[in-house]
Amino acid sequence: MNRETRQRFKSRFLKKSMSMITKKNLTRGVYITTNVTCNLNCVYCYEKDKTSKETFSLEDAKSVLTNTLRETTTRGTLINFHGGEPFLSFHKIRELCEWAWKQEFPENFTFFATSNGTLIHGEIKDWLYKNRKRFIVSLSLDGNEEMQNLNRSNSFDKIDIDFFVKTWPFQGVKVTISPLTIRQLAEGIIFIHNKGFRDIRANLAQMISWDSSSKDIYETQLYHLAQFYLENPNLDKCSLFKIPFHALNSKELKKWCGAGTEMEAIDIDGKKYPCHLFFPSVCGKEKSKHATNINFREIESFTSSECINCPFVVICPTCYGSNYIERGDIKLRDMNLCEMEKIRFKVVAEYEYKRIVLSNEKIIDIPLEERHKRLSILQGLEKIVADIENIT
Amino acid sequence: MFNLSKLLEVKQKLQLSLAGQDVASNYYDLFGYCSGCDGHCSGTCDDTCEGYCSGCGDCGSN
Repeated sequence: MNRETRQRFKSRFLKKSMSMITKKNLTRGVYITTNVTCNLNCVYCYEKDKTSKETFSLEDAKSVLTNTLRETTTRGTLINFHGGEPFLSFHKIRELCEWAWKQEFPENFTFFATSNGTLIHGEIKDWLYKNRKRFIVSLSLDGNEEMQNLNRSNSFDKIDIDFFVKTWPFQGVKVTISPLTIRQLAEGIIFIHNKGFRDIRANLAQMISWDSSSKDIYETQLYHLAQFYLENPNLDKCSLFKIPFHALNSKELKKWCGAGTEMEAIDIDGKKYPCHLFFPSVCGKEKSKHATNINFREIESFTSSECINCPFVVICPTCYGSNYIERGDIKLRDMNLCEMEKIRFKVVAEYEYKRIVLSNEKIIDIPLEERHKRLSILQGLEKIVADIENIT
Repeated sequence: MFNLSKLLEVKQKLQLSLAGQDVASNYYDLFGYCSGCDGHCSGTCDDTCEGYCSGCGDCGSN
């Protein structure tokens, strides 16, 4: 292990150790719902009510930030502008940020927004570029031009994609696959790689209906993508291909995110929620009210009896907020997606097998860290080979 | 598709090549530095600003 790698490990170990000893090490996110309106109408949007013209109160936001940022955490606080499309409220966002940067808060903080990108031109673009180190924007882009236009209201031509790649080169891009675009999944992901994005976070849309015909299409598309990655081994694979097979070694059930445990999301009125999907504006007032009673620390709370004996449960992702919104219980996954996920496990397991087992590389030429990763993946795969082969 | 004996053979070769090497023995040490997600994410959270869920999508959220 070289010095740099050792140092990185050390810093990560340190973070893990600290998380065990201090409650201050929350991954703290303050969500400011800027507005619920949006200039697009995406086919899978989960916002319940996009009609209100109301925008956030600057005074309330300043008050929440003042109260929050006077208490320090080890990781800092991320202040997330959440819409609708947040840049519809640009002038207020700018005023709040510039006010916050002038205060001498003891806490480190960064502003963040996920945007459809269509409004980031002219004045907004100039301001963001100037403040790019303290205000990060994540672009939602659903693939190539046709995919983007099908899912996201004909918006492809309204986005300066290169601006996002150049301004925040390490920031991921969010790709949501819908039934309308799944036939072009591989092409769309390759398009985004070719645009220069380094971290492609792709997933199937939740809270919408997937019919059985999508399964075969998904499989075909994933095989195309697997071939692409085998031919381009140095590319950072999209998240669909980052399955934590190593987790099968411990079989320990873990939560998929910090909702309700390591993370807290603070709504604009100062109330704390497990994550932003539990805000009244997202899941509805009644459900939001009951969210505080959920015990996120008990395995039984976040894993259903239907899933607990599944051989893939430790590698099968789920969104607790979506589960709560759709089925009223954080542990009730969308079983509509179950078959689709199994297809993904099969294709990616085969990809890893080809990449690692059928590789012609000499072990001596593989860096130690990579050898270790490969070993962990094979140890996991070994445990599910029979189950994978039963997936049809 | 899978040849289990071939898989085990490569696994053993990797194990042997790592014997005595100073490599973290727990895979989570390589990737598990993001609070909460325990390595299920792409491992890039630290490099951006996303130490928590803000739409990385790996959980399946839109």
